Amino acid sequence: MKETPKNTAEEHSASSPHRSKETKVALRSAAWCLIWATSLTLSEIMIINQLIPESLFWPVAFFPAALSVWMFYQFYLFYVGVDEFARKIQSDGLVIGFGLGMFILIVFSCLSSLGIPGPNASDMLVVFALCYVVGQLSRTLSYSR
Amino acid sequence: MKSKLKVLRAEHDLSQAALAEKLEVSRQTINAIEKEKYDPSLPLAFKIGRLFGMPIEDIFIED
Repeated sequence: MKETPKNTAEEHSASSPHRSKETKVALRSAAWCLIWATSLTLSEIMIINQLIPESLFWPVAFFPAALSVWMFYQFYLFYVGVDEFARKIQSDGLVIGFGLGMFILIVFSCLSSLGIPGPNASDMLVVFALCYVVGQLSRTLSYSR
Repeated sequence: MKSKLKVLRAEHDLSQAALAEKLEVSRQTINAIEKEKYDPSLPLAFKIGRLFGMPIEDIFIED
């Protein structure tokens, strides 16, 4: 089956429903990440500064945890729906990010035996988020070289 | 894996973006396959073969 050669600018600029759906899912996933991060920050601020009644401490503390389930579900939808090459970059980046995150935690753990305070749960979140970004960037750069 | 995708694309007067659109993948995917940095999945390889009317073993050659 030979395709008729077409190489017009109009053809390329025509919006592909497939690609625009992918972009929409990716943006939705990124938006939920931001919403979750904001909710976590606000929750910590409200509890630490006691801006809410004590009876609301538990629901407010757990709200970001509940929201994180939805956030990860959105990320999963993004991951399974994305183009196969982008999915490979994501997978490679996640493995590198996880490995790097674990390495940092192991170093912290070793240092804590020397009396240096180890990371708390919030520190670990930041460490893994940053490692995920490093992993994605490193793979994206390596494939685009 | 070596591929003749770039040659076939040129023969059919297709840009990377146009080919990507036909195959419902990103332009980066086509670029990575042409640069031999990424081996396409079997479904994508078959799709490419169908598009150019060739068996996949004539498009992709093992190193």
